[in-house]
Amino acid sequence: MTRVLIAEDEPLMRERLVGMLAACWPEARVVLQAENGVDAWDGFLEHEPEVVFLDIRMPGMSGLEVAERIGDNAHVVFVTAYDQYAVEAFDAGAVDYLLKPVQLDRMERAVARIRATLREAPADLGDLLRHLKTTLPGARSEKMKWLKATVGKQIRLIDVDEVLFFQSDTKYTRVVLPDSEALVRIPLKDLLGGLDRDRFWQIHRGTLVNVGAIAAVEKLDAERMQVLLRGCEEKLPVSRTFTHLFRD
Amino acid sequence: MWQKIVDWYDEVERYQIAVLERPELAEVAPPGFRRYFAKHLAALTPVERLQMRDFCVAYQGRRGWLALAKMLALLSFLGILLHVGTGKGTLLSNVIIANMFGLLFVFGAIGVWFNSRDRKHSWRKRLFRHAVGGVVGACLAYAVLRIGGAPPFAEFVGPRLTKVVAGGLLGAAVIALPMYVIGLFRSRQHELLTAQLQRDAERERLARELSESQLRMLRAQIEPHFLFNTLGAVQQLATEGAPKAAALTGDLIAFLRASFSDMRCEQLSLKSEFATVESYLRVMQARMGPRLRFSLSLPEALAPVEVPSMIVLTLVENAIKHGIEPALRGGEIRVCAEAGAGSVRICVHDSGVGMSDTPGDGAGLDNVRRRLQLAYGEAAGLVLRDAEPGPGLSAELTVPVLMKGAA
Repeated sequence: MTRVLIAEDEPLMRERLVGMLAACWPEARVVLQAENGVDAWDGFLEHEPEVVFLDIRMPGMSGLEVAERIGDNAHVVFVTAYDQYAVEAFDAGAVDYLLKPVQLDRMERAVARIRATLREAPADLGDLLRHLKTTLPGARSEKMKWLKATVGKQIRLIDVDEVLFFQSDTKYTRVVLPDSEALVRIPLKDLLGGLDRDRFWQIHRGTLVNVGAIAAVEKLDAERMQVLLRGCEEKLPVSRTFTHLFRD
Repeated sequence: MWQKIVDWYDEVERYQIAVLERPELAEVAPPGFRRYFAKHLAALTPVERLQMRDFCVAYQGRRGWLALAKMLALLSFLGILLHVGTGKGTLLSNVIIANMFGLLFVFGAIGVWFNSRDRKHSWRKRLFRHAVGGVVGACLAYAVLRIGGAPPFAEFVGPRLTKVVAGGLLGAAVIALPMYVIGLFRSRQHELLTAQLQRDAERERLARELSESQLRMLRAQIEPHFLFNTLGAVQQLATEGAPKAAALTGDLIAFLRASFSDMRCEQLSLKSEFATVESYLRVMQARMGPRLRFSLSLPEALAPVEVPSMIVLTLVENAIKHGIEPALRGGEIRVCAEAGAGSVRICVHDSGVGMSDTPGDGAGLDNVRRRLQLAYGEAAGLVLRDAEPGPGLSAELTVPVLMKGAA
C-alpha cells in the first residue's frame, strides 16, 4: 500500500483525481483529500504520505509553499492549469506535472513514473520553490504582526515577535509569552501560513517555536529530540519530520 | 561643367526630399551646409514637411527647370509690355526689372509659404531687416538702371539721395506687405490643419483603445485557466452520470455566448449584463461547491439602463479571483443595483480576504476605469473599500443613467 495525499480546492477536480487514481493505481490508498494548502500541510504531518498530489493555486497556502515545507519527505506531483512552471519543476525533480483537467492516459503515465521512482529518495524541491513562489500570481507575501486573543472580557493584542511558541489545542492555539499565555480562536494550521518561516520553526505538527527563544536542543535517543527554551520551563518535543532542522 | 552643376543640384534635391520624408536623417547629416539645411527641415512640423515634400517632388529635376524657364519667359514678356506701355528706359532694363520683381515675389512667396510659423522675431529686428532690404534693393535697382543706361552714381543718386532711400524703403514695404498677408493666411491654415489632424488622431486613439479594452476583456473571460477548469468539472460530472453535467454545460454555453456577443457592443442593458454575471457565478459555484454563495438583485425599473458591456462582470470576476478563491473558507458575493439621482449605483460585495491580502495585477480594474472614462468622462466612478461589516471588499460603480431609446 502506498499512502497518497491529494490537495485540490475544487471539489469536482478532487473527485476526478481520486477516481482516476483508484482506476489506474489500485494499490494506492488516498489517506486524505485536502481542499486547501493549510489542510494539505497539516494532513501531511498527520498521515506522512509517500506521494502527494498538489494543486498549485489553493487558498491558505499555495501548492508550492506546501511542497517547500514537505521538502524531501515525499514524492510530489503538481496538478495545475498553469503550464509555465513545468520545465523548472522537472529540473528540480518533481516526479510529474499534470495539467488540468487531467485525462486518464496522462494519469496512467504519471502513476507509472511515480512507481518507478518510489524506491528512490524523493528530491528536495525547496530551492526551486522558494524561487518560484515569488513569481506565482496571487502569492501571499504579507506576514502577520499582531494577534488578537480573548482573555476573560478583554481582547489582548499580542506582538507576534514576543511569542515564545505556539501550541495546537484542538480548535484553538495556545500562545505562550515569557510572562503569560493566551488562547486564540484560530487553529494552528491556519496560523502557519501567516507567520514568518525564518522566525517561527515548526518542530512538530502541533508546535511552532520562535527561533530566538531556543536555548538548546537535547537528543533523547537516535530519533527523538526536544527543545529547551529561554525563560520557560516547558520542553518541546521535535517530531521526526523536523529533526533535520537541528542536524549539522 | 554645366552637367556637373545639374548633377550636384539633383543630388541636393534628392537629399532634401529624403530628409523631409525621414527627418531622423538630419541627425547623421554630414557637417557643413547640408547639416544646416537638414536641421532646419527636420525642425518643421509634420504637416509642413509633408506639404514641402509634395512641392519638392512636383518640381523635382527637369520639371523645376521647366517651370523656372516658363516663369522667366512670362516675366520677360511682361517686361516687354512694360517697355511698350510706358516707353521709359531701355527694353533690357524693363525686362530685367520685370524679372527681378517677379522672381522676388515668387521666391519670397514660396519662402513665406513654407515658413509661415517663423514670425517670432522682434519688431526691432524686422525694422532692421526692412531697412537693410530697402538699401540693398535700392543698390540693385541702381545697378539695373545703370545697365539700362542711367548716368553714373554721383550725378544720378547724389542730388536725390533721400528720395532714393525713401523709394527703396517703400519698395521693400510693398514687397513685405503681401508676404506678411500670405504668412498670416498660411499660419492660420496651418493651425486649423494641425488642430484637425490632432482631433482625428485623438478620435482614432479613443476608438482603438475602446476596441483594445473590449478585446482584453474577452481574453480575460475565456482565459485557458477558466475554460480548462470548467471543462474538467463538466467531464467529472459526466463521468459520474450526474444530471448537473447538463446544467453546468448550459451555464457555460450561456456565459460564452454572452461573452462573445457582449464584447461586440459597447453598451449593454443591466438586464443582459446581470444575466451574463449570473451564468458566470453559476459556473463558478458548480466548480467551487459550498465555498461560493451568491445573490443578485436588480430592480425591474433599472433593467433597461445601459452600462459599458462586461464591466460588472469584470468586478465580479475580480471578487472571485482576489476575494473568494484565496479565502480559506470561501465566502459570499452579492451583486445589486440601485437608483440614485440621475445615476445608477452597482455594488459588488464579497466576503473574501479583503483589500490587504489581494496583491494581483490590477489589470482588470484598470481596464474598468479606462472604459468608464471613455464612456462617461468624469461622470462615472469606481470606488473600492473594505466591506462594512468585514471581512471582504465592496466595489461600487456609479454611472450616469442612459435609458435605452431615450437618446
